[in-house]
Amino acid sequence: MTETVKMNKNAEPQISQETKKSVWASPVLLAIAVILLFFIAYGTSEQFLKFGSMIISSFVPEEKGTQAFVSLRDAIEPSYRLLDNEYSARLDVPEAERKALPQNISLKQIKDTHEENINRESSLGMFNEAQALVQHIEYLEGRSKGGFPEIDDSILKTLTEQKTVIKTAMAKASSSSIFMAALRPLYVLLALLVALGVSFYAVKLYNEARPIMKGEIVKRMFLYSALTLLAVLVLFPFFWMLCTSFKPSGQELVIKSSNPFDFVPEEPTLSNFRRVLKLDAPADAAETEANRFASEAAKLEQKKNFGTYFLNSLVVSLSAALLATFIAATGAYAFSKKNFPYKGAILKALIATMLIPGMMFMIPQFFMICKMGLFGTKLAMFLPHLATVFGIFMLKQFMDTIPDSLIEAASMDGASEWQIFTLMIVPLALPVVLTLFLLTFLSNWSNFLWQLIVTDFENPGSITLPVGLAMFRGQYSSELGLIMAGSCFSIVPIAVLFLFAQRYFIEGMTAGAVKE
Amino acid sequence: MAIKSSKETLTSAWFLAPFLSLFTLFIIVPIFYAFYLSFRGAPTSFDLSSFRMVGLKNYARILQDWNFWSSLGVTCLYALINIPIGITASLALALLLNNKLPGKSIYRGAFFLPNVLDMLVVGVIWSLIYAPKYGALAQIVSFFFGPENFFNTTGVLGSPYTALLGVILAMTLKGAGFGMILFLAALQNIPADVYEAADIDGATKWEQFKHITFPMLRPITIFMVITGITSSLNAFTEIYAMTSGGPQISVMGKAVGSTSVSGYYLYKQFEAGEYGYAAAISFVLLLITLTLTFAKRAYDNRQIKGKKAAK
Repeated sequence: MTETVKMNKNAEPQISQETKKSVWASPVLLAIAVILLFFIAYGTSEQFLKFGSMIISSFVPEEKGTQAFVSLRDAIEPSYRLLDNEYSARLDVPEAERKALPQNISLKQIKDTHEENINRESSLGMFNEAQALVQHIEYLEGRSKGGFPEIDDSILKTLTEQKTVIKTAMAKASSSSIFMAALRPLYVLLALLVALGVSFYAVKLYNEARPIMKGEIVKRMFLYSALTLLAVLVLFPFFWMLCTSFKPSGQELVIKSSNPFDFVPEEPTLSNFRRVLKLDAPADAAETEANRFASEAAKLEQKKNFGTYFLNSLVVSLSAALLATFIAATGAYAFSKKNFPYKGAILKALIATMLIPGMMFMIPQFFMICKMGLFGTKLAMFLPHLATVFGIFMLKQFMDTIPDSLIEAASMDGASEWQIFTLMIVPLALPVVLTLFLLTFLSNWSNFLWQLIVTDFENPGSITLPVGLAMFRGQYSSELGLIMAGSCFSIVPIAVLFLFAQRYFIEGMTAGAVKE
Repeated sequence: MAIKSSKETLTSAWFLAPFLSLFTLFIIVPIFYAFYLSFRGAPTSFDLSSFRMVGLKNYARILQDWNFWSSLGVTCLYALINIPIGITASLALALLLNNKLPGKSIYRGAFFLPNVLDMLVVGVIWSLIYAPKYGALAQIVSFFFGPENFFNTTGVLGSPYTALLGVILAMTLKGAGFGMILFLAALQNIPADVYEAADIDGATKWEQFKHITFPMLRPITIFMVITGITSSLNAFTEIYAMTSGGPQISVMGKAVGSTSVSGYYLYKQFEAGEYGYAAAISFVLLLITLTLTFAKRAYDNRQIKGKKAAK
């Protein structure tokens, strides 16, 4: 047994050398495969499909103006006109009196596709359109049956009659269109095969250059695919948030008929960000005695924007992090390097309070803050959370590893206690101090419940990001783009910070557990 | 010697003063203050002197408050589903990452990232993903199964039977990276020769996992259970952002919020101005936490004794 261990130890450098070389070749090739896989997912999207069908149709030309196309076009036309007139007429009415369009409808997109299909004389296009139309009519019927009619009964009756006509035309056309309709899944399959082929070929090339076990390659491919899928799942909400925040108002509700996974905005716009920052507010009216009150209120309202909330959150979190780190550092120094009566008892009491759910302190703390006259101030947002027991233990644990002889030598040389602390202990413990700083910054950045109850909603200076977002959602509950743009202010800075200080975040947050 | 130690006490006092004063003021005092408030009623004005003494009435009210006990039940349910799912997801991620893989740290970062992001924002985003008619989930499912499906008409958060599960899924995807890091560290501490020996003895991979890996990860699993219980008792923001305690469900003829956990119920009482009652609820929750802690400690002690006896 000991011999094998020894052998392993001897073999270790060789193994690591081997993997060191594989570190570069293998991920580059697999990255290509992953990118390809991404494009397959994206391949079902309009642009890529068009590109694909363009290539394929250069081999298999689509017959123009076929019988299928003509019969489908004629079958669709009446219902299409009827719906087009109905919905366009609604848009002419002023917004306040307008009867809402059914959900998930973008008139412009539908019209564009229709015209394009007519121009291209594409039978597949008409087939898809007919299918969508039948689905839409069935949706309208369902809504009407369910007691939420979206359209007049007379129109619906005509549409129901037309539906059968369209369905017959579809049945007739399908034999000629079926090849084209089957193109989409075929295309995806093709792309998948190409991607698999490329990655297998790449691995084979790599394998020839530096032989490693075949099982290892298959295992790695499985691991990478599984991990990529899971990472996509975990990060999807934030990707969706970014995509939606750039979509123009009203467009975020549009479901793309071609690809439900395509969330990337086609016409990205910054209008949502302009609106949450209230950049386009009306210019100040002349300040007369009469409208002074109104303009004061407007100014206050103007100040309630995400720029203000962001700055508030920044001020609160930075001051909290600075002060809490200082307090924890001084406290930890005393607990680690000094002797005083009842030290053990105090430490035990600190541990005991760590078990109490934070909710417990909310109500008494709130009344204490009110009694101090701090309600609605930035100080109230973090003052009760400055004394972090967790921070004390984290720093104390590190300071315990600093040898006492260092401190004794410094005090022999005539350094004062304060000099020892600031010039020796803090610089030595700097990585841990930084970690604690980041963690307290983070916990105050997202301390929603406490900030919610001490916020004075009349005073824009006391509204932090999470509270502002909660308020904002109450006002614009249906405007996805706006809510998502507001969310970006909280998520993006922290995500960027995480990219640069990943190690500190992870080590700090898991420090409590590893100790146990 | 005595002079030196008293001097040391003095300097320690200076260093400890900021921490201990804030700690006493905002952690110790509130415990007693909450106890004091729990004997008082709802104020008639914002002035604190308008709180009436009501004696033990708040505690009597808790005993009869159906909504409070149901919120405790929901909290238990939340913990019972959330903790095993969270542990399984974290462990699965850790096992996947516990391989020699170039680019491993990128995945590690990607899985951990949602942990550092604001809970409220994550909750809001998920509530929009789940939203019927325009949410991302409704969009995807409608594409494949037509518009008349559960996700498009009711939505995950609209039904009392799936709302809690919806919250749990979102929280698992947000928090799995945390447990993953802990499990990963523990997995890397298991010596390789244990597995080599098991291989020689002919143990299958599953047997190795069951008899070596899982027992070795026991401390981390216990830690995850404890933090899971604490976070279930503290759960508020995710419920506020995603369901507001609803949708209502009828249990034994009484309407209760299907996702109204105890933390959210406490906030609701506070919001309604029932400060004294809310303080009493805090106290009952504290007692429950302490009971759990002592039960765990007693269990640990018995186990240690048992081990000593076995030796």
